[in-house]
Amino acid sequence: MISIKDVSHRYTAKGREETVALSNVNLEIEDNEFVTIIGPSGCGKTTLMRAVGGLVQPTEGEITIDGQRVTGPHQQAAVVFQNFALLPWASILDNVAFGLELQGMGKADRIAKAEQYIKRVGLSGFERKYPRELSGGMQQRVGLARALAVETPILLMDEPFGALDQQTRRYMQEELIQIWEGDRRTVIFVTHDMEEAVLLGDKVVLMSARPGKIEEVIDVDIARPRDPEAVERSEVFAEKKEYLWRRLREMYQVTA
Amino acid sequence: MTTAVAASRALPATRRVELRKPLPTWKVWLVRAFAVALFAIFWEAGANLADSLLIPTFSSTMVALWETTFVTGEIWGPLAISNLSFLLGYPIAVIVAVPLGLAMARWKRFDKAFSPIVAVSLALPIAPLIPVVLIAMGLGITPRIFIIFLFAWVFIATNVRAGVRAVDKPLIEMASSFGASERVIWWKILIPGATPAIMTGLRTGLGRAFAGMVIVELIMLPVGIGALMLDYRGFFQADLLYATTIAVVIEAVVLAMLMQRLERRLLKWK
Ligand SMILES: Nc1ncnc2c1ncn2[C@@H]1O[C@H](COP(=O)(O)OP(=O)(O)O)[C@@H](O)[C@H]1O
Ligand SMILES: [Mg+2]
Repeated sequence: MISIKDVSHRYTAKGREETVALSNVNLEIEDNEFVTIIGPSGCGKTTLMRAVGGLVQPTEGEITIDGQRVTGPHQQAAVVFQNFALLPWASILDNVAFGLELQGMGKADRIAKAEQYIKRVGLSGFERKYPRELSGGMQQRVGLARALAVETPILLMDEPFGALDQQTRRYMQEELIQIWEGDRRTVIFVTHDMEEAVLLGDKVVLMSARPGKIEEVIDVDIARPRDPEAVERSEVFAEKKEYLWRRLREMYQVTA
Repeated sequence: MTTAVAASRALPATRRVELRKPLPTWKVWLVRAFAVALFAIFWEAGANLADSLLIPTFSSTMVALWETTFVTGEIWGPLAISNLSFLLGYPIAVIVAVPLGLAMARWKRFDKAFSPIVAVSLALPIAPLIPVVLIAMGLGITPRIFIIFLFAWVFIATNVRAGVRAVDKPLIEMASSFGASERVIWWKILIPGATPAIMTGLRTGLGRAFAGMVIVELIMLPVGIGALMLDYRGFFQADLLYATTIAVVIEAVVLAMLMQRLERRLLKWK
């Protein structure tokens, strides 16, 4: 279980004003839960996610994972980045094996494991290619495989499909649902897409930029396994989406 | 339907931009050979026309080149002497400038400390420093090595620095998220990411070092290939002078090609 208690974070850069990115955030995330975070840009979604990953140390409050405090990057979580963050000089195989290599896994083992996850994200046959030879969607599958391969209980995904075109994004959402339903982890998934938030999440965390607060946590009571097309036609989906949109619109009116 | 299409008038097309198309290898070599031949013909004709003791013809230069390399073997000794200082000076420049560039890129303190020297060295022509160096260091091999070092280091250091700084920040964050230490970030992210720029620095530095090698021997410290050229000039052996110059050019080109090959090999992913 991830528990975020009274977490605040301020960025301080020399010669510039402080930015409050998070203020008094409280959130509990159960094991194997899929949580999506949505909110206007600049509301601290990335900061919250980085704090869970130990990539930033919150100025106040604490984050614990199964009771242990997060004080730096740790082996409990793996990150999928919006801009893929692939090593352009490394083959797909080496990219996927990167996290395993850093863990000190032997060559044969990590190749075997990387191949297994390459297969899971549907990229078999591309092991020897370089990232630039792949489309955006395929590159993000590499990013996903790299994060899955280290087999951490937690996956942190920061707008992972934000850089993809609509069709590709839609397709990747379906694949992610399938992969996740077959291999459950705790997922924190940041998005700015309301449909994506509802389609993927068990819970949608709505954040606002006044500044960096959690406004509401919305349960998405749609049964698993989810069939994306059926979900999109369902009433619950339309209702949740409507509700999110209304809340987000209110926020814009407050700030605008 | 098809007839209607066939009968319709063509839409007036705007001019199409033709991108440069790659040539097949054999054509590339053909074109190159042609350029060289053209150059040789003009040279031959020009030299015959000028009919001067100081301008050898292309053919006599080629004969002299053949003689000095394979018949008398006159060129090899001086060439070896020159290259010895190059083979010491250039690697020293690399060994000093690469770590310096890396350190400047990563640590502000290094950057601040060395940036004035780098800026001055970039702007300064090295040739006027040669007499100063010779006075300070005498006439042995040391001043030649040092001058070659001076010619090359700053181009290597600045390229390395720029290369490391241009490495994608998100890659560093990605590596830290997987638990990378500073050391791992260096070896797995910064150095591979900076390799294209490092190679550019090494290539530029190589050319500069080579130029330094020849210049110092020509203008102040006549040994090696420079001394040989000065001798030929003194005895009006224009064909041998030209042949030696061409030999130097050939060596420079070969070095550049070796470097390029290394670069291609390291940057397969590009
Ligand atoms: N490294 C940083 N230094 C200073 N301010 C930052 C930094 N990263 C983010 N911020 C600021 O913190 C706030 C929240 O940023 P972020 O967490 O990236 O929001 P989001 O991901 O929701 O768009 C923004 O106002 C942003 O400008
Ligand atoms: Mg963000």
